[in-house]
Amino acid sequence: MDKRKTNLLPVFLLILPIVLNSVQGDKTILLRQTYMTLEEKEGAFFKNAADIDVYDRYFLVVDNIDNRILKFLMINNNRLDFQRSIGRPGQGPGDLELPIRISTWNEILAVQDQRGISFFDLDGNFKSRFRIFAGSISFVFSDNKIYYAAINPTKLDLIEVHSREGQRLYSFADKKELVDFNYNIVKGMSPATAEMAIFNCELLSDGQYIYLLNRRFGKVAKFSMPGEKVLEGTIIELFGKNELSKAKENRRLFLEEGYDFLETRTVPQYYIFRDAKLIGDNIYLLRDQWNFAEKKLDSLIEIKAIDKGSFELKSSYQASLSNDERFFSFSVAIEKDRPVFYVLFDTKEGYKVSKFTPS
Amino acid sequence: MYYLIQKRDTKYPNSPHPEKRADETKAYYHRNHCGMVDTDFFIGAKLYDCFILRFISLPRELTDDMGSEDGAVVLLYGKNLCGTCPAGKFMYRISGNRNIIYLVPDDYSSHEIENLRYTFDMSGKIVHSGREMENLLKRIKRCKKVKNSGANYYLQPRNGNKINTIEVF
Repeated sequence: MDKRKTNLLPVFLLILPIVLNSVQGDKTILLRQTYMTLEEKEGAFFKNAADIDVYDRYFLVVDNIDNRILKFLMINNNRLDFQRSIGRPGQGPGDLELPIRISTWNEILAVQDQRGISFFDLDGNFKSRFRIFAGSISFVFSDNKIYYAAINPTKLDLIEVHSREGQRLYSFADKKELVDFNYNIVKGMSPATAEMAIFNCELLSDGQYIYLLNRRFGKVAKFSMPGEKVLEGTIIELFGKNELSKAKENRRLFLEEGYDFLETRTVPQYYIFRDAKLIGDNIYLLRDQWNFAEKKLDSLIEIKAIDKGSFELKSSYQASLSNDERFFSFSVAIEKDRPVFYVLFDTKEGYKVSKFTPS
Repeated sequence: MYYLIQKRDTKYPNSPHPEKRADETKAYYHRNHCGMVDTDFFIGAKLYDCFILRFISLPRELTDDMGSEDGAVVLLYGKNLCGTCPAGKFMYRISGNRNIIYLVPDDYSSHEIENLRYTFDMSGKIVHSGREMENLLKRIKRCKKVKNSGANYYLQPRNGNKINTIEVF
């Protein structure tokens, strides 16, 4: 009798996590990390990467300091072969000044830099450019238009829409509806800086809708392309206690008690998620690495997949990290009907790109 | 000689770049063999440009449109012209003044001019600066010691069309 009990114990231990997961309804999938190797070619190294994106088989890196976009071809799932650099430093057509974000639509790459938006084809040929004067939080290029989350305290709407030629077409996403915020609550901070902190968001598009995801308060909203709100919700509950505490602290500082910027001279970055991408029917959220309770970076990467139609959790992905790895940007691709994640890390040795595959 | 002195680079006396070292050597030679220090030249050159600027007239077609004492000409050549930058904050402060005329580089499209007006709620006129203003801009840069190309200038005229105040933002 005793012997049978001992034989069943390992089987029981194996089944237990599966049973617990199904009871909780949480589908956590472990990720396997592979470092991408960079071919040693002239011009292939980047000093500072502000954003990354995967388009088809190409891997794009925004090299902020060198004022260019690097295009790599992904080979054998773990090698990046340098193809070309797009843009060059300067102020003329085809030149870039401190590029910060990219968005690709219909084989055209839109690059946001200090001056505005520049358009290139994926072979690096410059197409057009226009200037934008409002500060920005995020932008997305979709349906041949630029949807731009603009910092402008004198305006009621957050998202401005521009044609490829730079013509301002319309605006939407009422700021008061997104976050009911009183500008006087934060002391010593200009209204523009306060807006930048409060409306910090990620804009995504699937060509039919625009998705706005607020990093600080976890609010999400879905708009039709002309700007009509069709759905709203929150993503804080998808994450753990840590993110709940961050959202609570953000509410206290920016909406309830107030915040004295003159005292600290810094804006606390208590973000729910660090980056977000949309692919297929899912929105993928890269959880922010900052552990609010322990005041340190977590050695864990966590990605949540939510349904773009309902904002409900579909699956969670997790992997452990080594201590010095700090991530801040990622991209998603679909391989063999499964999502794979490319994550940009800032390590002591420099920037590294890792590929995370569901195991 | 003025340019030679201007090009000196005391920050890099031991620079590995031969050009920088050469400039430094020339400036050193000049300082020690002409009996003058470089700053005398520098101040002289700076004052000269500022002095000349006081006698330069702004084009009549600009100043005639101002009409009031609080009128000004603003040269928007800066790259950091965004709502969240210091230059943007300055723009918000002055944008309500109808008597300000804004000059933008000739490569601004009509959409970009409208974007500019919309962002800062500018009440004044926005026009392309034209080539005439380029010489004036060079002189203002020398007077104000602006080395980069990314600054904006607020010019307040006196006696109709002479430049009185220059503010860099």
